[in-house]
Amino acid sequence: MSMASIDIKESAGTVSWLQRLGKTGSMFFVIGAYLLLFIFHRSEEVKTLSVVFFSIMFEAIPFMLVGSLIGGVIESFVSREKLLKVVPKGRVLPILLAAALGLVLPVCECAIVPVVHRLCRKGLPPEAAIAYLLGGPAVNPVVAFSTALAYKFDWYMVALRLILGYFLAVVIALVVKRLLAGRKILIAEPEAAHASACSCCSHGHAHTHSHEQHHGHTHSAEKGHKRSELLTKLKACVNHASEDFIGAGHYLVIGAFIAALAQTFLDRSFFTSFSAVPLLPVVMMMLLAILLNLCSETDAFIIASMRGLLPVSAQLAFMLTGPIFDLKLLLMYQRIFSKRTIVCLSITILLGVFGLCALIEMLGGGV
Amino acid sequence: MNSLKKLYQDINWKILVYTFWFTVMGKVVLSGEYTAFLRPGFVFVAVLAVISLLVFIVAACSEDTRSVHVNKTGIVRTLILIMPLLYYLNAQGTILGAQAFAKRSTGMPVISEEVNTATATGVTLEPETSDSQDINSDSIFQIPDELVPDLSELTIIDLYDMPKKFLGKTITVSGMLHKDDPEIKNQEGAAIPLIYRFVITCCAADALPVAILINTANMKEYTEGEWVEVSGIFETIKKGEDNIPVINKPVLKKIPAPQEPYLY
Repeated sequence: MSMASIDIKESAGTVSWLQRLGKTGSMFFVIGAYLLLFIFHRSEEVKTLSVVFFSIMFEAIPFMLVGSLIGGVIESFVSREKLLKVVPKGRVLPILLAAALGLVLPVCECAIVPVVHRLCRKGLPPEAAIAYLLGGPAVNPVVAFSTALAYKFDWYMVALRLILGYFLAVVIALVVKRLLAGRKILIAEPEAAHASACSCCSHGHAHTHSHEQHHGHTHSAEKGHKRSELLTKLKACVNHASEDFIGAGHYLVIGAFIAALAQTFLDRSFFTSFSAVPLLPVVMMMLLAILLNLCSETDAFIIASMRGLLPVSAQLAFMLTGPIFDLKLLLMYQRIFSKRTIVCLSITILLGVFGLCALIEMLGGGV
Repeated sequence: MNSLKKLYQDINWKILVYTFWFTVMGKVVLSGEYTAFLRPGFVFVAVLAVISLLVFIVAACSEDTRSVHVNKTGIVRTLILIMPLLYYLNAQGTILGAQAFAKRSTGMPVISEEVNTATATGVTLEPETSDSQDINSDSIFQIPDELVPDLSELTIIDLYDMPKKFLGKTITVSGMLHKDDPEIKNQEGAAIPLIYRFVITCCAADALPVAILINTANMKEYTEGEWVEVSGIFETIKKGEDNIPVINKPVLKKIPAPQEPYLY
């Protein structure tokens, strides 16, 4: 199965104008990026751009692969029933737990997208998926340690980051659930209720067929050939991982390229030059976080280097926005959520971070 | 024409993408080039990726290629996925330099606008006494003597990490020269150049410059961005709340770019 055949499927259905726009945009992106390289490859700016672009990809690809493999394991070895048994019942409890899942399953924002994609297909409630998606990269021990290191073990900043990150993940998940009640949140429906862990196919569409209908031959093999079943599952796991990697990888590349452009051409001192104006630094730092697309494990080092120039509220705005919303993530979210959900999620995240940081500034964090 | 079309349709673009990535990542890891992009300690992650890509290639090869169909999106997606590899070819042998320094330097105490204005009249480049120094983490960590690097192996970042250990001593550090657009001027209005290096936390995308002033005006024989080794007395000047590191009575020597240009 190749990515090309995934494309057939996509084009077989009703192609909305948004999808057409996306495809046309991708083509323009390809032409622009290749022309930039071929025409200006000797300039210092494009040389710097090349270093930064490849660095981002070189760092992100392994995490993306790991995330895809975890997703593949979930798809192939975890049945819907098993997963739903683990997910607690209730309206709020799954969200509260999912937002803190990063503490035991620390996954960065590049790796978490394929994981959440597969969890959603297995029936994880969408609001819990959003909570994990937003909480996982922001509230985890690696982020806590890197923030502590960057801020010279200023535990106040570490605690603020983690607590507010968790709070945001929970609140945004609840708000999005409320706003999109009764509407389609995910891009694909979860597997059928009685579908089990997939063991033989590698295609990209949603598995809405029943396990018995499509996988009958595997059931008979299960009895006498456990080893071959394991091999089949492993193969399916790799195929699913590969499919996820290809499916979300191009979004990662586009996001990384835009981030590299921003890193190369944007003057960072410009973003710190408005520190005297109330709330403007918060907006500027949110914008910077969106443009730089930094990994949540490293962003604290960047913002800590500007702490003499920015209020605490703006520093937090940078650290709270980056792990949950940037250009790369905005593109990668298309792998999981419907367009409406992405718009709703984006607005809620931006308003949530801004509101929270504005409150902190008013309470005295603006110094 | 038909055979070309068939060939075009028969190509498994996924294998192509994985093979390109596998080749390039394998080469970067094996040749040691990864230090130009990634913190060396993270190389195991890259190795893991190379192995995963190999597994993906094997898995993709075992697929039925007859089901492969290529449409425009498939090609566009392939072109997007291999784009970083072409940029890698352009990045070979390049390190972050003056352009990146100009865009990224915000956190250094030597570059704020206020300092710039005040230095024209205020900063005398007289060193502070060592008792008043509190640049960095010395107050938090007591650094054991065995962890203090030998004076001959010092880097700029060591001076920031443990300034008290080196204050008043003659040191030698290397870095790239920045003299064309100086942020700080001395009492006579002459520009004070600096040398800088980039510190990488994870990858070159998060690299931040660390710099140290060189108290000299004699820079005519040096060019912007050139690698130099500077020997002199390490001291600091105080400006407001900031302690600005400076090398007094410096002796400069041109050097080739080091094999590992970044600090980690």
